Amino acid sequence: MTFTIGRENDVSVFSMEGELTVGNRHDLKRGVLDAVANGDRKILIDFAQTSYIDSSGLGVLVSLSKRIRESGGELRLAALNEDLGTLFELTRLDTLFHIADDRSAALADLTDR
Amino acid sequence: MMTDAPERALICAARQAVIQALEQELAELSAVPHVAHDPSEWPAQPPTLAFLDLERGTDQVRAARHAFGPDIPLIALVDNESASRLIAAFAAGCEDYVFFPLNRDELKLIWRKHRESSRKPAPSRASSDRIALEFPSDVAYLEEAVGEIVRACEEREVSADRARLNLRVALGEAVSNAILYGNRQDPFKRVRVRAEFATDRVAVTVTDEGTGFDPAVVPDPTRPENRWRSHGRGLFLLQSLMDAVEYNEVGNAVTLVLLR
Repeated sequence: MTFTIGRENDVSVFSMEGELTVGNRHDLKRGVLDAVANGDRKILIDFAQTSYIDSSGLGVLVSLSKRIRESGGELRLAALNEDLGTLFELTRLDTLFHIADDRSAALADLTDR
Repeated sequence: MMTDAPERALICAARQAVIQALEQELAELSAVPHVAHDPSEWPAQPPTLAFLDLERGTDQVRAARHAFGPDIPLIALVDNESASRLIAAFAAGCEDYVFFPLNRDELKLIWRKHRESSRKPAPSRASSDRIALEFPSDVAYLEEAVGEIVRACEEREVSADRARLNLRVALGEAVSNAILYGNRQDPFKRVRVRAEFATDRVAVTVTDEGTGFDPAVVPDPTRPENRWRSHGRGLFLLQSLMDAVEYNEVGNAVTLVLLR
């Protein structure tokens, strides 16, 4: 898994590529926490190029969501494929996250605020 | 039953460092090494077991299986850190491995284990459709190992959706648990994955060398009070996505069953 970090207005956009799993989850965690430490408050993680997230990856997203909320920020997830959508539903994580169909919908949602 | 016949170990390798190291260590174990640089130099009589240097690819593994039959243990000799090569070796028909550079204790264990098994009449390894993988407790092997079993399912026309989502996710969680919690990432402990393909089901057993656990004590991560926890979803996913999940008594082996 790799990710690039971009910026759209005041939103930090993490574009993921590859799988988010037990082997690499700390890389994403560090990247997002660095952004939060630098004062970023609107975070978008785009999974359009991600086929798979395991339970460790889901756990990292939960812990990031908590940290971002505690810092007064907001997290959006975008573009989960059908399999990932199923995993979020099974684990009921769809009730914890704001999940947008795609990146532009997530950006619109964040920049309206 | 004991035998007085010399025990011959075939060393199929081209790298001089590999040949020298193995010859030296095997001599210490009173084995008679037979060095072959390529299959044309293989002995006519099957050896007790064969070491195959995977630096030369996996074709020789299939050739050795063909030449020596299903009952000769084939041991992959793999450079450290080569996850894809190790898993490919098992997929091609190896049933154990040693890393190069050699660890003397590891080699001794492998020699003893397979020498003993080759003396006993064993059920033929070719008798049913199955794949067995074995690898160190390192998450670097996770993706290759799971990918190999999923590919094998797809080749056998297990429903693509169920292989890609249900089995892949559940097996990933089982292997990850074995590496992280069962073996606590101890590099000297191994994880074993054995898949058996029957006409009506696929059964995959993941075994670690840990002391086991009680699956009944894992809290339900979907309950509102547990949803914000960052851990505890692996077993839930595994149980949700499989048609049946069985643990052995100790709790260090889990069998995932997917109906076809």
